[in-house]
Amino acid sequence: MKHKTSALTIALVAIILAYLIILATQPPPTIYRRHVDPNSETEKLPYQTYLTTSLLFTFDELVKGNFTGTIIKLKELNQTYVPTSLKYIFERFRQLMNELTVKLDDTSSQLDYAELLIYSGREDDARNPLKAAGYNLAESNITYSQLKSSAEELTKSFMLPRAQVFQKIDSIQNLIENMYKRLQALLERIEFQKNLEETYMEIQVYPENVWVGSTITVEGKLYTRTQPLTQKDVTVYFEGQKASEARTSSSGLFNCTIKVPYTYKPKANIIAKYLPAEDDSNKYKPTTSNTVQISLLYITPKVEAKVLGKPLPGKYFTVEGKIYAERRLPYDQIKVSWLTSSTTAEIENGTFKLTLKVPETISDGKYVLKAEAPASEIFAPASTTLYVNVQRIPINLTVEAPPIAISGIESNIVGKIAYEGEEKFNSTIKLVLGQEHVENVGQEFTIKFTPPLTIFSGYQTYRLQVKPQPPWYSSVEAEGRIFIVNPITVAVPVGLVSAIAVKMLREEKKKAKAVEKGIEKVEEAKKVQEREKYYVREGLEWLINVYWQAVVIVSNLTKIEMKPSTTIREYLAQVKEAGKEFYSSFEKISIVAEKALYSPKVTEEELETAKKSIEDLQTIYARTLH
Amino acid sequence: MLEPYTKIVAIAVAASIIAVLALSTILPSSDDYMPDNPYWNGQNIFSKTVNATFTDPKTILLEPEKTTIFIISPEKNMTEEYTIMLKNFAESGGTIVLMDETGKINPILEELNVGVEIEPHPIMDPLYYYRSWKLPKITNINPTTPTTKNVTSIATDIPSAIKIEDTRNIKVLAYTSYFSYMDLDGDGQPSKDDPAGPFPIAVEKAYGQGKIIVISDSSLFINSIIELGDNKILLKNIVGEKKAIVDSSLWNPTTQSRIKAFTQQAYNIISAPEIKYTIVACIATITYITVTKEKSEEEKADELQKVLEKHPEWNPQLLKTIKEARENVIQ
Repeated sequence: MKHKTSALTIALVAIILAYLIILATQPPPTIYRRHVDPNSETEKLPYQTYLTTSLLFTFDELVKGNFTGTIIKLKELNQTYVPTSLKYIFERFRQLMNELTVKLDDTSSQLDYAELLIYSGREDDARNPLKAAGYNLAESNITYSQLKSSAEELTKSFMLPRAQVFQKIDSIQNLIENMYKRLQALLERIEFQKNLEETYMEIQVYPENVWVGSTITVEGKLYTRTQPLTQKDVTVYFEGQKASEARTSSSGLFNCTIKVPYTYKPKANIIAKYLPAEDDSNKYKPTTSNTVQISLLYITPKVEAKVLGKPLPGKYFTVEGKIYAERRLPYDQIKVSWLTSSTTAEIENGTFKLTLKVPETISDGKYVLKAEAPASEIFAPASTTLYVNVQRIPINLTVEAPPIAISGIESNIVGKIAYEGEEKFNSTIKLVLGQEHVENVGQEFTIKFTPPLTIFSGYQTYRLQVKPQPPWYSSVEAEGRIFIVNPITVAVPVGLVSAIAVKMLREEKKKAKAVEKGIEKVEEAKKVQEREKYYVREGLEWLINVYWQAVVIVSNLTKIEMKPSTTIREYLAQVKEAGKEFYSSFEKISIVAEKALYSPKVTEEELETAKKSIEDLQTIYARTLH
Repeated sequence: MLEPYTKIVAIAVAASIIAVLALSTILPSSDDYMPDNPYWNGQNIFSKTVNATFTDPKTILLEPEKTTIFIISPEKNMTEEYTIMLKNFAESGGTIVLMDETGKINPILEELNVGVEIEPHPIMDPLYYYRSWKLPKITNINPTTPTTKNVTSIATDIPSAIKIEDTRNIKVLAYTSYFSYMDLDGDGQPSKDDPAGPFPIAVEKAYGQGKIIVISDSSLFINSIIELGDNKILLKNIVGEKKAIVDSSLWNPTTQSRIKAFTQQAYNIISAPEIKYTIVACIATITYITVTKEKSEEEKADELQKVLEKHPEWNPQLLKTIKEARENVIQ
């Protein structure tokens, strides 16, 4: 038990050692792969010079008043790596910068709007945006103070050059101050304008319904409560764009003509503005006229298009359409765009026709086709969009595969392709079954295949791919299973089991034969005994039994054991001194037994002596026991 | 006396072989890029994300238009036959992704005439990075390609730069930042002679009906990096609906991986009906023989037992010797 435990312990240690050796055995690297575990890397601060540069760029954008640019820079700054311990400081700084930028941007927009209103003579309307701007600036000031404290922490934590950073931060203060100044100036302007003389302007436009490209006349009057304003410059705006300028006459009247741009929308607004210049700015308030809306006239052609036939990959298809309008079109071409290219089609009697090719490799699906007529003077642009449905002709594949195939023996897979139409074509048929078979065939095909002898028996999945040569037919695939029987691999286990069985049967037979032989030998020996009156070794097993019984008795009597290496004679010699009483009987038995073992003949008399001697010995032994 | 020991030692040896095979198979690998390696340098997230197969593409039937082959940091040299296979694959509509920072793939880039090569010096970024300057964060990404759709940042692990020699059909997918530098002197710091970024780190080239993507960092999709940036989205974009195959035949596996592969192969072979049923038959036969033999020995032992029951005072050893002698005589 102890030995067993030790052996098992050794076995366990051997298992562990063997595995550890395997784990430790690494092949020498053939190349040095360059990668590290991010978690094992020490957190590193961003490079001070670059972080400073990045910050200064951001400040520069803000100082320039480029608020959109500042936001972009802040987003870039957000990509900077910040160690977890400093994240709060950095994030706080970035948030404050962002907040300040947004507030200053809003302030700037409010100031711009207020300025526009003031110089349009709408001082009262300008007060609200100015109020909002003032409020924003007050908040910006607070944010700026917080930003400064945050920048202090930031420069300390990231070991950035304080002087450089604060120089830029101070420039932000200038920006805020400038905005304050601008706010102040606008408020002052409102107050100033209050004391100026109110001006008024009215305009009329005719005609009110006008073709695009033609001219319209704008007439108006500029005046104060008391008098018309003479020799003043008035600007006329068409849809917010400066269209013309005019000078007032001695009666304050002005007129000008505007060429209506080719704008294809139904309505357009026209206004006029008076902005006092030079000395007038200290006398009169700016003013804006009433808004006049005019109706624009233009022709919108109608485009219609349709696809003729079935668009198939590799084939041409026709697009047919018409374009019409109330008047004769000034152009004779129409642009047709499809996929990645565009082309032009001639217009004849208001219709167009175009042939386009479907690429062979295009996937099935719907593709946009656009027919566009250009804008031309009074003709507005027109277009129509339609979908070209590219769909390959489907084919049906029927396959007849054998349920079982034998390795090394050729088998067939028979197939048939069915489809709409009468067209005849070849297809590439690919059979994938352990290896690849490719054939070019027609509508019916037979693929011969030989399962390799290198595979084991069992189900093998096959795939049959049919790719028609004309690109306008769909490819089709079928999958199935064939049971492959490999006679070689099957023969091995069957043979092995058969061999074992045969061997076992043979051994059984051999044993039976040995027994038969033994019986034959005994019978033969009996015959010899009778013939020669002599006993031979065969059939004397009982005598050997007699001897061993005698040995047991003697060894019990003498306490001298007969060792396996001791011969009959040696044992006889060993017990001679120990027991004179039984020695004579034991000697007789020993002599006869030795003779039975080593001599070819033992006489009847000797056997009788042995029988008598064992009886004597047993008697002596029984007596001793009692 | 030696017999029981021999038996135990034989059992121990057999048990240790079985245990080593079992442990090698059950315990995860720690090899670079392996799909069963859950540690930082493995690719089991990659494997699961796109259901990738790690194998030798030469041993399987490829359907180029439905397959993406990843060649990641090859250790072995590629043969001419292999290059031809790749060329045919890409021209027939397949996607090849070549990922390496060492320049080991340069010969294949040249053979395939991609027009780019890997400059093996490390690129570092001291401003945009993950934890260490060695792990640059790429934010300068081409937003117009399907490969980089919805990718806003890419995490890298000591990448290299791609040198573009022929710009025809080459689309740069991502650049490092303006603050990045090529660490020529290897001091890890931006020095005067270190070229400054931006450097292209991922490019794409239309190749026949397929395409080739070159990335100058083999670790983009290892477990510790793939989830840092939008690397997973990038991976999904690259693979799309195709089947992902990672060429594992170009790596030198460790002993454990070899044993694992061997065990797997052995298992596959054993699973074949012939082998499976042979083993069953052999076990049945051996069991039958053993049982029969034991029965016969028991019968023999019974005979001795009967004598001893009749004569308990007789010496059992002596009786055994007698029995053996008798058997010898019979024979």
